[in-house]
Amino acid sequence: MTGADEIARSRRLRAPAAAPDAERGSGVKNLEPPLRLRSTARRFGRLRFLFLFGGGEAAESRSPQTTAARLPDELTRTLSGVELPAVPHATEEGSPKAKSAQHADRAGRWFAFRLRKRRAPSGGEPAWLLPFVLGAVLLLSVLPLARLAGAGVSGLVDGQAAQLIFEPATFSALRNTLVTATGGMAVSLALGSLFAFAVALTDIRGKLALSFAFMLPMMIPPQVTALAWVEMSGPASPLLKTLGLAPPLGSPQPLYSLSGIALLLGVQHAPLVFLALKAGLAASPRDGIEAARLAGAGPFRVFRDIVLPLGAPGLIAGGAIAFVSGIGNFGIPAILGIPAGIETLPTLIFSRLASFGAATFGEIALISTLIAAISAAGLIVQQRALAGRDYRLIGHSGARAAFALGRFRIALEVLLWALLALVLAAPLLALVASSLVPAYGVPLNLNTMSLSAYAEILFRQSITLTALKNSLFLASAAALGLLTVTVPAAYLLTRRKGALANLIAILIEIPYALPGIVLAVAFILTFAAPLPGVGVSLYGTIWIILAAYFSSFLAVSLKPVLSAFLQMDPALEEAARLAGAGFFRRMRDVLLPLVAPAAGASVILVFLIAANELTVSALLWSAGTQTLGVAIFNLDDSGSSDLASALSVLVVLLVIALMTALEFLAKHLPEGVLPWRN
Amino acid sequence: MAQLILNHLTKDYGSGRPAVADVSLTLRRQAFLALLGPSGCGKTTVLRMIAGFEQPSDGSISYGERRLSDAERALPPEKRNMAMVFQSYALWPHMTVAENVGYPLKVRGVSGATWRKLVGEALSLVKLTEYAERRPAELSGGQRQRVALARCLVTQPDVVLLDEPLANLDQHLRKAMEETFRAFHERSGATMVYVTHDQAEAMALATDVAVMSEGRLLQVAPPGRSMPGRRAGWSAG
Repeated sequence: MTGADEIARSRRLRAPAAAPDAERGSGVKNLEPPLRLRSTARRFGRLRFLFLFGGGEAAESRSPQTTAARLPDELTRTLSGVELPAVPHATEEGSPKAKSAQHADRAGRWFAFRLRKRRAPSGGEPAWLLPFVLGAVLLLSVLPLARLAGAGVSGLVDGQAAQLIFEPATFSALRNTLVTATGGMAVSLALGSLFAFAVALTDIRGKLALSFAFMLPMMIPPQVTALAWVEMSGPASPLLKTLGLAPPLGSPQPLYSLSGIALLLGVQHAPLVFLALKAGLAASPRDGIEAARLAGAGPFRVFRDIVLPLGAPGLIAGGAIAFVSGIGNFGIPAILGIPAGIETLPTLIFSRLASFGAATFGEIALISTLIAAISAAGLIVQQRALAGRDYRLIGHSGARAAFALGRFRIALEVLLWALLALVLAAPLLALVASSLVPAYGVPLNLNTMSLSAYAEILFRQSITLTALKNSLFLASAAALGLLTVTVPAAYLLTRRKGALANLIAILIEIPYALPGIVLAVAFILTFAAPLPGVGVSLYGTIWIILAAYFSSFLAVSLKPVLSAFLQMDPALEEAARLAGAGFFRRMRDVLLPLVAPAAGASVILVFLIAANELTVSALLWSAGTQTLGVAIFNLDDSGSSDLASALSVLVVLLVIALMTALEFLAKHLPEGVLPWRN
Repeated sequence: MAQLILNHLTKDYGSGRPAVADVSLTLRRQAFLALLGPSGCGKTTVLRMIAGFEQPSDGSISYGERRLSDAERALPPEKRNMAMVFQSYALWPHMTVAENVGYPLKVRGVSGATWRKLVGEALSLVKLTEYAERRPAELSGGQRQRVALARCLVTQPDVVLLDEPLANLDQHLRKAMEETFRAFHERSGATMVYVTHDQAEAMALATDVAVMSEGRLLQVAPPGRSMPGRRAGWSAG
């Protein structure tokens, strides 16, 4: 094959090929898995208590408080015209009472927990459900993370890793990460809430197009976003050169800075805020707003007193997700930060991995623990924000409230479209422009324009076609396969409250909250050795990437389904039970049709994210299993910015085409599948 | 004749005071019991224990010779041959009116002409024949109520449970629905347990009125023989 293969080879020399050696060096294999499992459980013990405590509070406030009353002497009453109840029950009922009292005495809290589990049949879930979900979560979340924690511990024991954590490089990476993620969150909150309030509450025109365009940045992979913005600004920008606006050659690229990274993180994650907030606002009742208007509140008063409190949980939750995503983003700081010498924690892990040493796994395990801690804090904020909100809609009524803007409407519309032009259209145009120029720094005009970059990646380089095929396979397998885990898990989490459910929810969330790079390392550690019983190693095959995707996108796939289950009136299932339908029957006839829209949304979201994924596959790929994200990154890294741009343009076209195809299908899809549709 | 027997029924969520404490009742077949009490008194919990959605912490529920549930084990709701009208009606939004009503039959393996005949009868009893192909979302509150009732009717359940079914309806509809309930009761011959906080409603419909307060059963009497409200120390709105 050709040039790109050389590029590929040069990269592989640096990274994963050295993995087995390094692992042997760190002595990870000597530890027994059960020991590590237990230590991980202990690590999360505190987190669980935190949630346990929160749950306890809610349960207490729900129970009506009154004094204990004397039992009436006459225990059994009979209705008129009916004989007394059979006496034998009186003798029977003494024994269970005594037994349960004994239980409570000897048991204490831990047994009380188990006791509740025994009573589960009244919840109606089949006996296999909990073991199935627990098993899946242990395999996808606990096992790799425990393996990583083990590597971290052994790195700590070696002592080399301890030095690293006090290195100035680590501290500055930590600072950079926090600064960029916070800045990115601020940008996301501003952009996302502006669009969400405008689309959900006002009478502006073209909401569908606005939502569609606004969701695009989330679907476009971060490295493509970064590439596009770099092509848009700076001295070599073909767009600026063509327009005659380019700064002189040699002047610095303004995006190669902390604020540049923060800005792009903000643009990338604004749709997360938009989605979270819009979901909250969609549930706000028109009646409530109209009642407030009638009560004499002006539009601003209504906004402050009704809309904002309803939207606040979504706003806080969206902000927290944007922050955590910013912490974990690899594509943007990799493209913008590395040329400027700015390291964030994810890029630090990447570069440590590239320069393999004996303590590498210990080092990156420690750095990733740091990231995990920050992410956990963000997630707790998000959980807290959402804990108070329980909109259980009866059926699917969703009347949207509208503020009539009058003459301000056109102003708001102009503002929104101008913002979209700036953050979306201009960078993409620049990307297209740079894919059409024959060489770096050449201005684009009719004479210089050429399609050679496209011809190169489509016809001369088999590697990009392989990447396309791999990405499509991985994305569809992950998106559909995950539903078999997430639908049962969502059902379980809705029906079962308490410590165990919280633990499962946290364990599902952790792999997604962790940056992909940490997860990738965890999977290298877990699957480098041959599988027990089979004797085949997953490492180096496409299956290890698929396994990592399963783990990473479990939470993405779960969320829409879980929220659909949560919003469902529990009486709908109870009615089916009384109608005589067993678990599978009511799943098929009642529950699945009702969550189908959400399941569809989950498949689409996972597919779009997985198809564009870079971070996990950047560490796990090897010859023949490269993904689209890796192909773009490698092309850009090797200086072929025209080829990288061309492939990026194709990826963006693919994303737009997929979203548009869904749009045309929308009327055949159940309502609520497409996040950008109302 | 099979009786529904609640024997020292207790439900404790572990919050200090039990939600239902030591409730014992025997209901003959064809009884229409109104379970009366202020909100939070545990009457809905009793109903949900009868249906099988909650398991008692102590005591037991039997139907005739059959033990339905006690603290150790419980027959799942799908095997109890009961039906319930939920406060929210719990109509499945993705099915038509006829599909909603006929679902219990479908689960029992009834299909084809028999299915259509039984569903048609149930719908005509609640006067909704011409709405068979509509979706629940297109119906008014009273119509949804009647669909829920028809769904109870269609399988001839042993016990029919009604959880404040009139709470969301206006005065006129309530009167009409009370009539429908009475006709329904006469026709089905099922034991009916009707949870309400409205004393007048209880008096109008029931053959027996049980008054609950703070989880305990205060009194059981036929309507008119006592003024449970005054004795219990609360007044129904």
